Amino acid sequence: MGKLMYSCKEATYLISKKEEGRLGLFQKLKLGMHMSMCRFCRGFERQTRLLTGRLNKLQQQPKELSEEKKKEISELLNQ
Amino acid sequence: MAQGVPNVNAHVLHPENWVDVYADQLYGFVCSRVTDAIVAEDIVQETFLSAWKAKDTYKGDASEKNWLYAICKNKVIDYYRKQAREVQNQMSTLADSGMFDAADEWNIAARPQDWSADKNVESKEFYRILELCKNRLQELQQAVFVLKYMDEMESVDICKELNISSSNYWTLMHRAKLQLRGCLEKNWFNY
Repeated sequence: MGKLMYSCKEATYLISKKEEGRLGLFQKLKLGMHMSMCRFCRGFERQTRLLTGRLNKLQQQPKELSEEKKKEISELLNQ
Repeated sequence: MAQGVPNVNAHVLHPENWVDVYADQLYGFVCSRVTDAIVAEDIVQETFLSAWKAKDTYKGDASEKNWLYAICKNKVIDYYRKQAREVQNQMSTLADSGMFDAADEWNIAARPQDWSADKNVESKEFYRILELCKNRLQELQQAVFVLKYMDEMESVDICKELNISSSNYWTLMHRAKLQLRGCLEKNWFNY
């Protein structure tokens, strides 16, 4: 049997697994216990959720492919 | 539509217009997934070449645009997979250095602070910093981030696509999150 409490390192690792529903009941309870006592790990969870939830806004960026590259590709396609 | 009935609404390809219409769009798409601009350019090129070779197999079910994007997405994953193969052996050296102490508790300097509410997390500037911090991640960490949070894939499928073990996946995810939030805290929330 492992130790009773998770460390912060373990807790922050398991938060991502929890997100996907990949924790067993015992792990969930242990994690809940750590989270209820550790405001830094709570902050970590809140903040990473905020950030990852905004990542998909970076999805499509207004960019221009260089004219040289476009010409190169056009030539390759027309061979 | 019933099978066997010719699809009169089928989409058609216009390869002669591809570069003009889609090159910039696809490049922008790839740039959000790959840090190196040269690599991004090459992925766009490979996308067009593969599409060109496959154009006779196009059935017109998907629009031209969606079809090209699907090919492009696969090219990005091919690139990630190659990265994964190279990095696999060095997993243990990708340290979460300095975040935790010997007892695996937060180091004082790395402890998440309360992010002040008056910093607008919807502003253009915020997204610029978010992108900057994302681009600082090691390529494979970015890969799992992109597939999970932009393409909304499940972890099991990501592991399959990249051919990595699930424990490697969770480790990459853990470190990526630690670094991303640390970077934002420093560069956006200024603690």
